[in-house]
Amino acid sequence: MAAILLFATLPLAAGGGDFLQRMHLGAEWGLSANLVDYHHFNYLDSSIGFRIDDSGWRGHYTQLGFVRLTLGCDVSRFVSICVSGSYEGISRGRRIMPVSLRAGLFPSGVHEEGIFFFSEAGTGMRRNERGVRLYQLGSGYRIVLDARRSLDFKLGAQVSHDRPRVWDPVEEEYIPERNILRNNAWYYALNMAVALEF
Amino acid sequence: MSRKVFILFFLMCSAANLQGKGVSPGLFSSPKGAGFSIDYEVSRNIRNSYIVLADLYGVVKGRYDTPGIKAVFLHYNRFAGFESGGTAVDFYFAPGVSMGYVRDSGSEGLYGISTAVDIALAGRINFERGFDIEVGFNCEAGLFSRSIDKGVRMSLYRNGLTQAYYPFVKISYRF
Repeated sequence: MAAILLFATLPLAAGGGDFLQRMHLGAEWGLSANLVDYHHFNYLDSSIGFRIDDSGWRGHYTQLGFVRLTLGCDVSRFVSICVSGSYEGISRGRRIMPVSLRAGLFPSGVHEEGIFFFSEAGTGMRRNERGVRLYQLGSGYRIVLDARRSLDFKLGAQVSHDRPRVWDPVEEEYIPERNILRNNAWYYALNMAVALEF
Repeated sequence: MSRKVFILFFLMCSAANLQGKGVSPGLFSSPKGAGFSIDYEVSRNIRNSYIVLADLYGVVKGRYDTPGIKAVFLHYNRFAGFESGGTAVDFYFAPGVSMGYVRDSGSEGLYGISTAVDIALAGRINFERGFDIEVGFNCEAGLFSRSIDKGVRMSLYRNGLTQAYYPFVKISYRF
């Protein structure tokens, strides 16, 4: 909703006819290396009649990937924002379709070659993705191909929050949702991406 | 395995360097795999491309933790193209060969050797700045062999055909 409001007010900020010149589309793809995760589960185990509280960190390498389509706008000479829709993996066997909002800071200028920085926040779009949140902070290098097109190489640190199903290792089945009091999982990953903007 | 790949890539680089001009190192990416490429231009219409990539079958989907490895050679033949405002767009038909130490969809997660004949169709945008962006499709028809208890089992390399509709993008720089 915030993204829609922001984009609705952009034409005013950008100044009418100039607006389309500032808009750009993009495609981005890359690999994501999930390095560490943290979970906190609290549930009622009906088979033994106790409440189980399980939490902890785990170092576990999982290779994942993502594809993104972006719609962006240059709000000033140095700042660009965009909305993106993605298809990506955040943990082993868990693939989501989040929508996110990204802000990029280009110290040399949006249409100039050079290093840039970006921050991003997003949330899952589908029904089974309630509670999925993504945050990313990173940097990259922009290569200007011509007046409208550019190529970006990016490196980012991503944190994602999910509410996964809880596995009962004793009964070897998932805990029913009504017995779950807390199911938080945080995944920490490094992303490498290539992006084309036009 | 990594030493063999390094030697293979070094040989490719050396071969490309011997050709002198028209060398384009680049990045290859696709849902099938990601890696490095080196192209060299034989003539205006013909280019040779050497690619070494990590085969990502089952990895991106989180089924397996480790990728396979594959080497691909493609011989590009330009069959059409046009130029607009300093940017040239060329279309290529590229036969080739590939070999890898990979998983296949019928191999139950076990590695084996894939050997295949490749056919690729690609479009390439040549920007004035020296960067080239290529988008295409690659089909591999070949065999997949893996060790079993007392010998080797050979089968059709299924991923080469079933993943033919996955596009690839190659970004390279012309020296």
